[in-house]
Amino acid sequence: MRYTHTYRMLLILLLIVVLLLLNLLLGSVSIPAQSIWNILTGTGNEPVSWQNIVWKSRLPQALTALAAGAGLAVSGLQMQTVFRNPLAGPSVLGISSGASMGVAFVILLSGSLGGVALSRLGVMGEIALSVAAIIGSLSVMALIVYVSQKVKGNVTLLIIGVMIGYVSNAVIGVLKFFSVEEDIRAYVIWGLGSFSRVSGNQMMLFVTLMAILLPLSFLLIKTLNLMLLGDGYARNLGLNIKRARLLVIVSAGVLTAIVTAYCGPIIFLGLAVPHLARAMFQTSDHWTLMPATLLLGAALALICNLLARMPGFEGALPVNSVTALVGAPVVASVLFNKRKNDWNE
Amino acid sequence: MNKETIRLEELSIGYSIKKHHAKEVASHIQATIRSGELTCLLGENGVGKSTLLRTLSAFQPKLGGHIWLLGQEVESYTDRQLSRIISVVLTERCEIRNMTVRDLVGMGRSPYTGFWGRLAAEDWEIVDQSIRLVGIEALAMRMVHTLSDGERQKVMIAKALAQETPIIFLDEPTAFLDYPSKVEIMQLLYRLIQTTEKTIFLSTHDLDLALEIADKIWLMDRKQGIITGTPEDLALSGRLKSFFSGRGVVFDEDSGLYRIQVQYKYQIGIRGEGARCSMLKKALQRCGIRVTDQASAALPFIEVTPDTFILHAGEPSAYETIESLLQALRQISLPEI
Repeated sequence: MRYTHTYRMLLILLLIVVLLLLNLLLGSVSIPAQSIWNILTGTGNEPVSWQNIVWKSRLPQALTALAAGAGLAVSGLQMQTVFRNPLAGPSVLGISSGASMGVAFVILLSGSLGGVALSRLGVMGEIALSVAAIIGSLSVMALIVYVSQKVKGNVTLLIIGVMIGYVSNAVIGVLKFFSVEEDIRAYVIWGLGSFSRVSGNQMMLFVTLMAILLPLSFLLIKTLNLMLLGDGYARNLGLNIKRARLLVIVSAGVLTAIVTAYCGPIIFLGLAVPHLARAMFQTSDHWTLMPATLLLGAALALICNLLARMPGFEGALPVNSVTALVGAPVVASVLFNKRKNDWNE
Repeated sequence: MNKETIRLEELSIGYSIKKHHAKEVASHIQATIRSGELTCLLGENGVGKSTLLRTLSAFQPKLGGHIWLLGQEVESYTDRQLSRIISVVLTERCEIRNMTVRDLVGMGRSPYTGFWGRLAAEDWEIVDQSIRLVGIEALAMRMVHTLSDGERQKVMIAKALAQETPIIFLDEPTAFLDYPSKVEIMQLLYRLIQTTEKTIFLSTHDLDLALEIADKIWLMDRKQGIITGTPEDLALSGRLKSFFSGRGVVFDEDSGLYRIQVQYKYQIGIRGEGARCSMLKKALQRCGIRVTDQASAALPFIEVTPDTFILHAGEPSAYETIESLLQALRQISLPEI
């Protein structure tokens, strides 16, 4: 790794720390920085309502955004490399559609069959949703993994993944048709994505899971680098293509499944951040790209979370809208500037 | 020093479609490849050249027979061992962005690097040595996606060298290149064969280049399977002549190379000698006019002088260029054969 890379990486790390602090500082209720410090260190005598806002709302949200952003970005990078397709992302194999399908089953069927709107169930309902999402996405992933061992071409696999996505969307459509309006609304809100759904112990579980899984995904660095060369060359260099494909899909799939389970289907980050990382670091080496993507993903998610809670919006903006609205121009401009440099060379 | 490194015995290759179904592409292949000899595989499109190369590099299973690599059957090697025995240069274009040539050549060290794939100082030494051997030092820090096709091909050859394998297979390394690059790549391979102890086997469609530069030729044909030998032996035995028979190509036994077959319709005489004369002959041949040496009085002829071509058909008339002469020939009626 070149020194400029390390230097840039440290800068992004610094940015993340600043963004974390801003996430704690800014919000609909204004709390002075001194008080936030006191609350975090457990000193001073701050109002209980402020303590609750920091401990139960702002901090969990910020940590969730950070972990979710990092996870989706890394998952997106892995998908783009394994499919050698710049348009691939965490959602490309229908894994997040699988999660949506699981959630749709729970939300929509509980209303129609059980006669209870899930929205009234509170925390239990949230846990049920997470479990359903994980079951849905992991079963789609299992299907994809099975297919990946049967078909040779990456493009075939990609198309089958997209088809599975369509099928799950169709199933969701049918479910919606038979559901009561209240439940459909709950499902749509879930689909908008949110970093604030997770709280308390669940947040701790989510962040811990990501803290374990993200380092694990780094074990695939050599494999991913070899995959850049294409199947033929990678194989000749001793890589077992089928096994490699399985490992990368499982790694990316599990990351996506867990993030989607806790935050809903968050689009865009996973697709865009790897491009941002490549443009900033001018490399394809995953030794640099993996940490860069992870850090940039976390930073971008924190920015989006911050914007979604800007005074005036009061947390009303759905994460999915913010990620695309903010992220798309940023990524497009970075790529566009890089293009110009390419031409100037 | 050259010794036998690859031996094929009764090999049959192809694709197994279902469990008991197989589409055989070629069978009863009996041949050997020696180190220190550049061996070229020639054959029409679709005859199975790539299938053979893929089978030899263990990318796909054989249908029958034996492949001996360095005295052991290819199946007895693990993937990891094979990656240190065979390196390949493929037709698939490496669409890789944002990677320097040096880093890409460095990927050739993967079979030797550890879990994280980091290159040690000795690995980088081998990488730089491979880059020097191929003569692309000037490109080392360039991004791969900014290179021309010919340069890219050299990079992939450098990658194969960095892999430090005794055997290198190249699948049509000269395809899509301009002519000078084709020659350059072939000469590079020939140089490698002579300076290293490697076995190099490549498939190509560039007949003339292969016939000129290769030590051994493998002719692959649907009917006859594979015939091997030096280009000269194959020429003398008439194998090269029959290889493309009836496809608009004739084998010129004097030069030992192929040229395009021409249907002659007319004939004409020529008097003169030297380069101007042979160029004129070439132009006439292209136009379907056979040049005869017999000086028959009835036949029109062209007299080649140091600065003009004089056409003797009726009134003699002089032309400065071959182009104007050909134009004039179209106006008169030449005797048909």
